[in-house]
Amino acid sequence: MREIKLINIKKKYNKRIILNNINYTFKEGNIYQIVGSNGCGKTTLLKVILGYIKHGGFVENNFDDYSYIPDKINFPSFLKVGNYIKIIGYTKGLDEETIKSKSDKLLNLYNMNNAINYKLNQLSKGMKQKVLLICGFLSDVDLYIFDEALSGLDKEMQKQFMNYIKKLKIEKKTIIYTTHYEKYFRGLYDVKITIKDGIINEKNSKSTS
Amino acid sequence: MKKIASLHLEYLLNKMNIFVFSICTLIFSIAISSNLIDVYSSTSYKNKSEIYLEGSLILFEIFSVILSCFIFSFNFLKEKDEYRYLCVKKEDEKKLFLIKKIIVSLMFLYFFELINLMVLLLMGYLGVYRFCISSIYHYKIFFVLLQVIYYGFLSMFLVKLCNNLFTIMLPMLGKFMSLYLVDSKNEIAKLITFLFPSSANGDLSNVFFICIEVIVLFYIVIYLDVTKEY
Repeated sequence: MREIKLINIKKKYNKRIILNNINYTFKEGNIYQIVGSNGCGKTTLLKVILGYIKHGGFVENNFDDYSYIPDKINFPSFLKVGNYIKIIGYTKGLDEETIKSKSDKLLNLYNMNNAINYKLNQLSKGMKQKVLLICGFLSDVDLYIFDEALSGLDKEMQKQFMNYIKKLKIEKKTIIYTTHYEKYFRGLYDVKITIKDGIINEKNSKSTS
Repeated sequence: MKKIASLHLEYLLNKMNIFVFSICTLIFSIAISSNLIDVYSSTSYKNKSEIYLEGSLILFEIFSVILSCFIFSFNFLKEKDEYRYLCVKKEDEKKLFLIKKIIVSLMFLYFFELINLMVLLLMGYLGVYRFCISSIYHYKIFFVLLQVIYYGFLSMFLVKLCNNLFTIMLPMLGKFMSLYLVDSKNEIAKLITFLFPSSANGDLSNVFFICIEVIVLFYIVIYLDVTKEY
């Protein structure tokens, strides 16, 4: 069974302790919800898992591939939505046919079919978030990591996102996400992780229901 | 390689880069025109081509360095690099991602430099009677095109270190001081002109040192990028 093992993870920003000696194992096939107040270390924890930041302790990650969707990125000024998705697909090593079939489905799902010829700098925050999600879902991987995936999405799109996550859950994908919109994810996650004062508390959804 | 490179190019073709380049080219063209007017009012014994080229190449050098510092700092800020989350997953890919971005940025910069050079030469051919470029000016152009790599990498190094756009003030101020102090003989002036090369002191030994400095800066930037958080 594949897993991500966090061993004695410590992280400080200046003198502020963000993650304090964390030991935890993320197991394959589960959905993990990470919550906590602003600045508690949710994004930091995700970046530690992915090896994007320096930290104390060790991370043992034996997933071969993953898809990470950050809370925001900058987009090119003059590129069109369709072309951007295509280029991102190529950089993920996908062939043209796969990109086309996958992006068509996702564009349809997120109601973005009409926006395919829009320039990225003309998009609203919510539409940019949708493009980001489409890019994240392009490749078929076993581990998906989302940082505030719902931010900027309207209710309809939030629902669509939830449905897609449910589909991934059926396919036994591992999903780790951070959110401030806890109520939307009710009943979806297997494990809820709360970060407070650098320490994480785990709550298993099955044991609480 | 091609796909990541085209992604970098799309990101480089942003509004800010285009705006800065347009402003630089506009001011450069005005400055060159003004230089052209000066050529005809000059009573120097040198021929008109030489007077024009000496003045214009200094302008070309200054604008090239400004453009290089800007391109290699603004586009390498942490927040401008966030798209790497979508395509970089392994440690090796991190390095390759940056190397490709540096190569594409250099090509992008040289494209703009070429346009400025074309403006310079076109105005020379149109405005100076019997315009010709002697080999010493070929060498000066080569030296300018080499030193923009150095100033670009220096700016990129400072941005990777501090993640602040204001750090480009250092190489730019250094460049202006170096141009001002080029005839000074004291040790401090020599150090400044060594650290911030200009075509006025661009002999062959300086070319060698610039190449060494460029290679060292390249490795430091790669090291900083791989070890620093993003």
